[in-house]
Amino acid sequence: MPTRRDLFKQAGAAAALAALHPAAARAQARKPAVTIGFPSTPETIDPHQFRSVLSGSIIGLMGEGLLTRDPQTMEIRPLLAESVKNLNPNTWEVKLRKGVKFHNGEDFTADSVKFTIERAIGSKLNTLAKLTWPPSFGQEIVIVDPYTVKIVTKVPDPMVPSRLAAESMNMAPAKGLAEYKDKFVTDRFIGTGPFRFGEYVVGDRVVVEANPSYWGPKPPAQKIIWQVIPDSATRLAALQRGDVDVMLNLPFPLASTVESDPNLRVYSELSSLTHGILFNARESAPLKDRKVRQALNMAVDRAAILKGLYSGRGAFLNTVTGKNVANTIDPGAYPYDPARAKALLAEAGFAQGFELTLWQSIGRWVLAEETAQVIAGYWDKIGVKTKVQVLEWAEFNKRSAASAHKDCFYYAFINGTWDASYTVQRFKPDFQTFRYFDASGDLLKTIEEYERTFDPKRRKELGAKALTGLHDEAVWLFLWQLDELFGVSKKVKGFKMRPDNVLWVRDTYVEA
Amino acid sequence: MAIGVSLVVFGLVHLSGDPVLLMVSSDAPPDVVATTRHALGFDRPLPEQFTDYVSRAARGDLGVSLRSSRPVAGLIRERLPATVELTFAALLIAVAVALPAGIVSAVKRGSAIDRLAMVGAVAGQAVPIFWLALLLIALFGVHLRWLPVFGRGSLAHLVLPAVSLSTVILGRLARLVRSSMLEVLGQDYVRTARAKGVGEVRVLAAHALKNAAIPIVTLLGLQFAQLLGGAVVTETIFAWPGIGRLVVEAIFNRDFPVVQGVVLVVSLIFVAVNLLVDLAYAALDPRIRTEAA
Repeated sequence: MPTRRDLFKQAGAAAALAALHPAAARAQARKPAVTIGFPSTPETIDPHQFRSVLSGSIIGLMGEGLLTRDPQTMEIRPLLAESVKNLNPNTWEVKLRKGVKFHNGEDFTADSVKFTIERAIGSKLNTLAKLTWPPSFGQEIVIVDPYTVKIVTKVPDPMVPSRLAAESMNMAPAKGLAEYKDKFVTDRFIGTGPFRFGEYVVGDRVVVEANPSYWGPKPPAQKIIWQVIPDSATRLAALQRGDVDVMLNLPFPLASTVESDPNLRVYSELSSLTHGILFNARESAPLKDRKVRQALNMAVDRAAILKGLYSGRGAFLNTVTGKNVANTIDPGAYPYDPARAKALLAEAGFAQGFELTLWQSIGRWVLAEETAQVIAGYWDKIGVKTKVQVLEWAEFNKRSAASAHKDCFYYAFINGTWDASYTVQRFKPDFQTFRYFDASGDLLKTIEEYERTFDPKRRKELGAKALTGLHDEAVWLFLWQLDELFGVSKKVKGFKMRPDNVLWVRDTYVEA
Repeated sequence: MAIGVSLVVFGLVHLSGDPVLLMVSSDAPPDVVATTRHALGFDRPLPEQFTDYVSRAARGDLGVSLRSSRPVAGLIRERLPATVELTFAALLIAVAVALPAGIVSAVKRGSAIDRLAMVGAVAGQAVPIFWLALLLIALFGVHLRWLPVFGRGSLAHLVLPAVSLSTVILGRLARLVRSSMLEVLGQDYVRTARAKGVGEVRVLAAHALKNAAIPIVTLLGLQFAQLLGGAVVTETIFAWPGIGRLVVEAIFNRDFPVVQGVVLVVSLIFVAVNLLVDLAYAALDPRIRTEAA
């Protein structure tokens, strides 16, 4: 039986959430369902084992974490936790929201938190959380009372709130999923979210239905149908006919068709995926020299490529993290200056140029093969004879992660914790994967201090210093973040892509 | 036969790369990769993996999908009816169009109708199926709004994918009907039938077509594999939830058990169809029945 205080807390939570869900407050004539056309079947609806942001977006309608992020600003906000307090560098106290129930009727309590974190990080499962919160941090969950837990880590970890706010940390019911702790879950989902699982037809659709006993504001749509339509032209035809209300992955060349339709609009947001060419400064003799790496940055006219290949839909990247990420800065672009690039090569002792291999994967990123060819052309012009080598994705990725590409290769990174440290830590000499440039001296000290620092102001300073250092070292050929395009019916309201590419659909509805 | 097919497919999919690297995140540390590989049994010797697969397949257990974690046999059972429906609808349309077109072309040899039908047949063979499918979607789905453009459900959903898929064999079938009929129409027994005053329709249906049927039925049996292959493209374009799309997604995700399971089942269907063709020979030509006896 909830006490009066509990009810006040719930009301407070509902009011706070209403601010996040303005659409829910509006009463309008609406279609009962929103249909979203997307290209491929989600790999799973297991709350912890999905890999793609898209699957995370679908699962995120049904599941909730202790913390979440504001869809506009990406600030961390409480969700199933009332508060997360840092008691000392290794201990965090989490007070849980009371009166929340899972879709199966089970109460959300400290047991759920312990079960979830142990399943997501401590089990044998291949989970996403193990990447955003490595098991080596030694996170241990201590139940203080049914609505209080302490998280104790072996190492000081200022990123705990960011890790708890990740989509991979959906709270799961201890009893409801007990038998699936170490096993795959294929066709069930039990969360606390505003929607509950309706139907999952592999290869065809996932349907979620409004949860009538949701603890927060009710979502405006009764049902959200995620309809698999692999071919982009068919997806567009379905949008034009009104069979789907939103179309994901709108290819750049089809954007004008959507724009010319009076019933449709193109919705675009900058993707969080950061594209670049990673230089192997540990093994390639010329690339060990910073001047050479800087020259390769100055030799490429990024503006021309972005305009010519991507219709100008994107923003330049000038360091190893994207815009909007916490503690990032923009240190400014290397100018397009082939003459200066040649001079830098001469200063580095490569006036006659040298040969370089640029590795690329097939079909992984939009127009990336074409981009690599064009970049090779620019480098040829300053005397760097570049050979583009293409590999199938799995082999390419295996070599990339194993630090096995000898010269340089094209890659694009997400940011799993939405903090500059996620990318910056990769330049520490003891990082396990993607080691192509080892930070040293002052830069290394800055990165290490950044990892240990809790004070937000100091973190910002250290993040800026590390990112500027990595820019000056020209560790990558910094390329861009591209726009993510959607075709949307003009009757659709409240559809949004969060800056980290998570689709924010809980406030979406379609006017009748 | 089934073991042979399994061996070839098993070898090919394992040559194409490591599925574990597609399952784990792009920057997964080596220990996570190793744990996942062990959990899935991919660290065992290949002969052991194959023997294990064959012995389980013989009991109807085709393994579990690496991506969706669902039993492969169940996935195929869910998807196969959609592909069978689409393939037979396409076959029906192809026969319904090619047979009259081929007969008329043969009877009116050299006429404008003959030329038109054969130009259409060659064009049908030449047009890529994905291009035709997109044209049909643009015209009947978006412009005229007569027919749905994706998914399975009503008869209307079947029309565009079945028509697109039928073109894979329609042209060749029409040309074969024409040439077979021309050959038969020149035979003595047809001339005799006509001399006896048998009506033209009866001559064509009872005397000519029946004798021209053997090569046509043979072609249908052989082309059935092409239809299944064409279904992969058609199902992808029309979001038709059949095994064609299942296998395409499985190939991209290097989902070995699904690829192996689908290829095995499709091979068995192909063998069964060809057995039916052989039986149809006996029904169509009493001489074959006698020789067999």
